[in-house]
Amino acid sequence: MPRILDIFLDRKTNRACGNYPDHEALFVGLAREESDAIRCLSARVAGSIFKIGKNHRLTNDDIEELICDCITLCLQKIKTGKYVFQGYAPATFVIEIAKNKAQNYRRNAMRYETLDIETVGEKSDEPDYVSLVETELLEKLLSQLDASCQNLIRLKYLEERKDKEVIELKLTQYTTVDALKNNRARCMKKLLINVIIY
Amino acid sequence: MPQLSNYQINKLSNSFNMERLDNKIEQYILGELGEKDRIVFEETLKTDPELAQSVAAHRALMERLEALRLRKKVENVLKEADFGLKGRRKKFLGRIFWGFAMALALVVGAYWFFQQKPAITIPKTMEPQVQPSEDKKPSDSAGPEKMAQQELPPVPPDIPKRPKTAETPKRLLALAHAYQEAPETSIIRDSREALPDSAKTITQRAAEQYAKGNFAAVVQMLLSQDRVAQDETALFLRASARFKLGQNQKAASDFEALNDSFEFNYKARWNYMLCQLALGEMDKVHTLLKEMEVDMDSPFRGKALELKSKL
Repeated sequence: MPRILDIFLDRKTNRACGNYPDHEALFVGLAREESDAIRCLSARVAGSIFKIGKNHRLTNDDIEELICDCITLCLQKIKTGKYVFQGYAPATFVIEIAKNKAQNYRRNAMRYETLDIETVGEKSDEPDYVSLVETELLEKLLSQLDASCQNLIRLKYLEERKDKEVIELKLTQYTTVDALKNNRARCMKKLLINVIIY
Repeated sequence: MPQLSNYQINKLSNSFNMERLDNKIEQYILGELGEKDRIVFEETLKTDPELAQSVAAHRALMERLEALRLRKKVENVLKEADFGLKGRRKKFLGRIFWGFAMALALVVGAYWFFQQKPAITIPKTMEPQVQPSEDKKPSDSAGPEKMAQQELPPVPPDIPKRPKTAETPKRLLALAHAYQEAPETSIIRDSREALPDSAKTITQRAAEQYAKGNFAAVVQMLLSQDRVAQDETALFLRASARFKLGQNQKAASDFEALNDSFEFNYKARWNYMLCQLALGEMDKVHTLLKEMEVDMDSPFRGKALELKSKL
């Protein structure tokens, strides 16, 4: 019975958004990368982005990717200070991103369908590091490093662990913070070389 | 910001160059360098284009790593909550499925409810039967017609009524009397042509009384069981008289005693059935009628069919 009610009343969505009574609260939640805030934002934008995607004749897989891209981009812009709360709903911002991205998606798809140079889409000024293509590439390049380097970079940049915590928990073979930093710097240089080569 | 002299800056940058500057890049970008080290690094940046290029590349790589982290987080959250398109599709299909299931359950429930057979209702026209009094004095006994018309005591509402046929007791009684097989007229004629009363047998005198309609007198005259035990005609007369008087139970008993009679068995069985009809014992009536229907030798087969059609 609870499961049936969950389905009918869409309780999960309502529960997630219940923590954010207004736009500002949701913005703050997104800035803190709270899971409920991400769920709430996703529930509010998924329908609109789906329609946008269908209007641009994207496949369902592309639309799912688009939703993830747009939310990630929104979080990134909040973190870098490029998106500041001005009273509008974060969902509106995300939907605007989606409209632009959907056009790029469509242009890229057409580029592969035809060899006409004129159909090549204009690249945006900012690099799109959040896209699936870019993130998968980075993961691939990261996996090409040795295990020790992968560990050092993941702990710092993907898991956001402090150096002191890493030393205390003995998550690496290094016993001092300086040694940890020096070796991580060396690994970052290696990764940079891989990126440049690619 | 503390002011350093050019001498101090050059001294520090030389020491930096001895160390690998690359190690400072991450700290510089993350703002982890001390004040003095930061000043020197920035000054070196201005003069060393390769270092500047390296810092820019590191900054971009860190942005990419941050983007990777954010994307992984969003993907995990959406997968967890099933908020993707597949999850929405699943939810949508789930709603359709449960909605359909509930609608079907309602339809089946409504169908079952309305298909329930109604409880057996007792017709309001049915009046409980009351047996007329037995063995009354002739002068006091009322005719069966009068007895049928007597007001019956009301039945208390909480007593469950026995399911009965749609026939009313009055009608059954009337039918029973209408179909009664009366004693043959030859008995009565014989009694009249007989010798004076003093010479007549009791059976003959009883037959005279029956012909006159003095049924109570008939019963009184033939009350003795010894008297009717040897005389089937007397027994039949008494039974018929009792039937006329509404003493159906006793009449049935007398008729039953004549089942083995060669002369009266068919009449007795017929009248016995009519006694049951008058008593409202419809199960027995239908059973007896059925027996008569299938008995090809029974002279009452036609009457049985006729009576059955009326019931």
